[in-house]
Amino acid sequence: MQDPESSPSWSARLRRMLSFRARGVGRSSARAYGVTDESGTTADVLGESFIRRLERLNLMTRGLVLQGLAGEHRSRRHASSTEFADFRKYVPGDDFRRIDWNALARLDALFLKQTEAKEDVTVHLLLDCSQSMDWGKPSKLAFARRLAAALGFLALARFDAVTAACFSDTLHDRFPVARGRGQIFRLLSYLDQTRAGGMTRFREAMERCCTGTVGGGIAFVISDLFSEDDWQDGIARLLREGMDVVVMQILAPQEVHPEVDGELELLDSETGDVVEIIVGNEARRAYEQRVQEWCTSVAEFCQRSEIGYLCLESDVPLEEVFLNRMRLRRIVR
Amino acid sequence: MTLLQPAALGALIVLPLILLLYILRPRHRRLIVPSVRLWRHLSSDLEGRPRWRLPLASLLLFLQLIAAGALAIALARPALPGGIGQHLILLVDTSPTMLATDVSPNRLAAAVTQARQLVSELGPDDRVTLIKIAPVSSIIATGAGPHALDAALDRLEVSPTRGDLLGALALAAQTAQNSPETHNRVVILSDGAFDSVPIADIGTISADVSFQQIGGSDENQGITALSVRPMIGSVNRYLGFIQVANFAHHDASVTIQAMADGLPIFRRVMTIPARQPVELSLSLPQGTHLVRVQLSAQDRYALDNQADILVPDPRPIPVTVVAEDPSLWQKALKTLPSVDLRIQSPSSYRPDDAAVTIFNGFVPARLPSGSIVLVAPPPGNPLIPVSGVLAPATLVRADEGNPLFDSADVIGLIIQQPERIGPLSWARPIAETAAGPVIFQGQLQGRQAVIIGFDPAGTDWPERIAFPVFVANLIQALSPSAFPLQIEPGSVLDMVPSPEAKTIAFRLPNGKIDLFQNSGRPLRFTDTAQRGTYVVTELNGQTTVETHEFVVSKLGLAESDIAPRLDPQVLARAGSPPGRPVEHDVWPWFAGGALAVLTLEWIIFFRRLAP
Repeated sequence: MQDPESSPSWSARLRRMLSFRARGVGRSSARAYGVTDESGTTADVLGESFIRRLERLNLMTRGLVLQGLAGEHRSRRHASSTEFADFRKYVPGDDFRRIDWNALARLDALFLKQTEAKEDVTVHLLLDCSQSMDWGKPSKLAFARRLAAALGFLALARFDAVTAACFSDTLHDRFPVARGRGQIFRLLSYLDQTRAGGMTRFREAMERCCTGTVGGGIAFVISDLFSEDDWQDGIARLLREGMDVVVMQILAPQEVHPEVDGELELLDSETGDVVEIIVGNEARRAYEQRVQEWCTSVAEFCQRSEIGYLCLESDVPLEEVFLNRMRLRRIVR
Repeated sequence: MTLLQPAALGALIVLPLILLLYILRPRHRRLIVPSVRLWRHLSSDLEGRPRWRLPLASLLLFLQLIAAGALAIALARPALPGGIGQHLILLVDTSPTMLATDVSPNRLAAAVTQARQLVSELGPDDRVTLIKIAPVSSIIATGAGPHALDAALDRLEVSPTRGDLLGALALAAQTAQNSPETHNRVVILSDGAFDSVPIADIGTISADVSFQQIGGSDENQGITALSVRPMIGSVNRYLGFIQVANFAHHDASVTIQAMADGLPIFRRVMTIPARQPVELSLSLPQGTHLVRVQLSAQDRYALDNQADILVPDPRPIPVTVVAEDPSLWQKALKTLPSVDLRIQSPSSYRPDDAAVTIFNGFVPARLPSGSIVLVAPPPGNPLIPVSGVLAPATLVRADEGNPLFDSADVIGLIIQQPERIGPLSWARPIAETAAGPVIFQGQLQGRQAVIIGFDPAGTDWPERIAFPVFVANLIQALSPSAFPLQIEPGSVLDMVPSPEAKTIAFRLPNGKIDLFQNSGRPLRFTDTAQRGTYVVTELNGQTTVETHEFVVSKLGLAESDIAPRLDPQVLARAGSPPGRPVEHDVWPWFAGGALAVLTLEWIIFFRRLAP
């Protein structure tokens, strides 16, 4: 049964609000943004206060990004601009034009004056839409949609380029690169239409993702990482493409702390595999330990690969994710 | 324990089915998870195990098997013999042949022992009934438990004559019919020395009928007949006739000895062919009163090895006729050889010891002691109320069963002057004309009396053959009842004591004496079980008024044949339905037990489910 809030009139109202914002109407008029969860209900995920806080955040890139349109995103890459960033010693081959002659006069040493580049960053939102994501309370897919919507808003608000794609066994219809706040609704609409199904094949999906993508950017991989193949290969493919990768592993609370008991026939939602098991306290403890070890192994891989990693349960508030955990991981600042 | 519906045991098939379900593992509760990768190979997972498992350690399985088994058994309706479910009806033969000693000590004792054994096998609630196969079969004891018949079996004795097996079976059938709720068993303990018994006459017996043979030997030689007959051509001489039979299947040598009043008069050793009788005759000395024949043989039955017989007393019956013209009666009475006729005139009549006195047209002031016949009593006599004379009439009715009219047809007799007699409280009319009764019979002051209310001389009666026949019947009926010389064992002896006697003593063959007081009424003596000579003495104080003798004996081929002749199969077929046991259902206990076990199983199951 569809909630009244999820009716077309509600979507129309959101469109209207966003259009006001796009036409330069005061920010305070944009009260909230919503996405439809897996049950078709439009969830008020981006409240007014949360939007205000998001607007103050910046995504951080760790590697170089290819020069493109100048954006509001501050890059770690030093480039020729008027905004001073740092000095460094001259090494043969440097551009003579960047030697700070004043410093040479005073210190009798050759220094290069570095300036900070202001660049836009392409943010890739890679959303796992396999069947395994359609599980848990709250649903992992619903949480992933909200998370992607918030990331998309954050990027669009900073005039970064945003593209999105859903994947399972392959990459499905891609959300084309968009810029500016005005595209947030299109992104939300795209996320609304995502449906869970199929099994996860990371390598193929990431290969397809990199095909036709120019330059790096930040790739947010939002997935539970239950993949038929080696999900790490897929991540490595993104890295080879020069992307900053942030792995956001989504787990349902019932996955982390299962509340099942007795003699069970566990059916894999993707593969259909069956495991018969007698679940008791001992089995539950062993399973939880396995989950913990698995998350640790994922974290270690990400650390080795110098990529960002967040393990999130689907019942964690987005404020907590963005304002605490992502800040702590220096994914945003 | 028996099963009333054994086919229902097929329900036990559920037991292996339950086991199979456990062995093949049930499909567990299905739960969809994102991935089973992390669930694999946990310590308690079942993956990789075979699809079957050993179910022996499962308490729930154990309880389920018990419940299913109990329910299946309950469906089969198990039953136990309970309460008074069994009714043993014992028929013990007490015929004289049961005294045969081919089993130790004799057949009756062996039957009693066998009966005790059967009764001892009964439960405390089982019923038992003891029927004695006797000339008049009867139930002599009934009760419950293994000791119900102890006293009755102790008292069991041989009957005087052969038992009535058919009557006993009818009694058993009735007893079984009255116990429809029990499993009735009729067991016949007998030597089977019965001739053919018409079992079909009693229909079917609602019981199992079985026959247990007691003894079985045919080793017997016995006296099967003994009689005395007057010797033709001599006065007061008699001949004795003896029949001795060999019932064994081989020839037998026996010694026959006869005694007359205790003196040996005959002795012979002879060989009797197998299963053949021989007959002997012997001349008895004159005046012989008692003849005793004894047989010495190596046989198994002693009861027929001795026989007594009394020689008839030749004394005539004294009859007195008191009449002005006795010629009519004299003519009729002279034709009777046993009558000692006396004639008296009414004017000079004095009572005498005549057995029968006929008063024609006269009634004495004092009656004689014997029976009297009052013919045409005159009006105004002190005994018979005569109120006048009726018109001439024809006799239209006479008691057909009365021995006085046996072969004496008096219907149509024309009576010219019938008297109007009565009413008489002590006599009843036995012949009537259309105007009223004319012949009466009764008992007047302790003596037999017949009243004829007309003078036969005034009728055509004397011209008929019916008159002397009637007179002969009259004398026979009214003469003092002579003691029978011989009666069968167990039969009844009726006697009319002499009026002078105050005490009557019966001395039995074993010396026992039974005393009776004379109440003036006929005496009935029943203690005639013993075979032999009985002596009856009528006493008036210390004075003997009269003495009689009679012999209790029962001889015959059938009486002495101790070999079994009864077909046990015929008896067994009389029982119907054949042995369906009546049991007490105990299936509710099994069903209740199954329910209790199931309840326990559910409790355990849900407790295990509880967190």
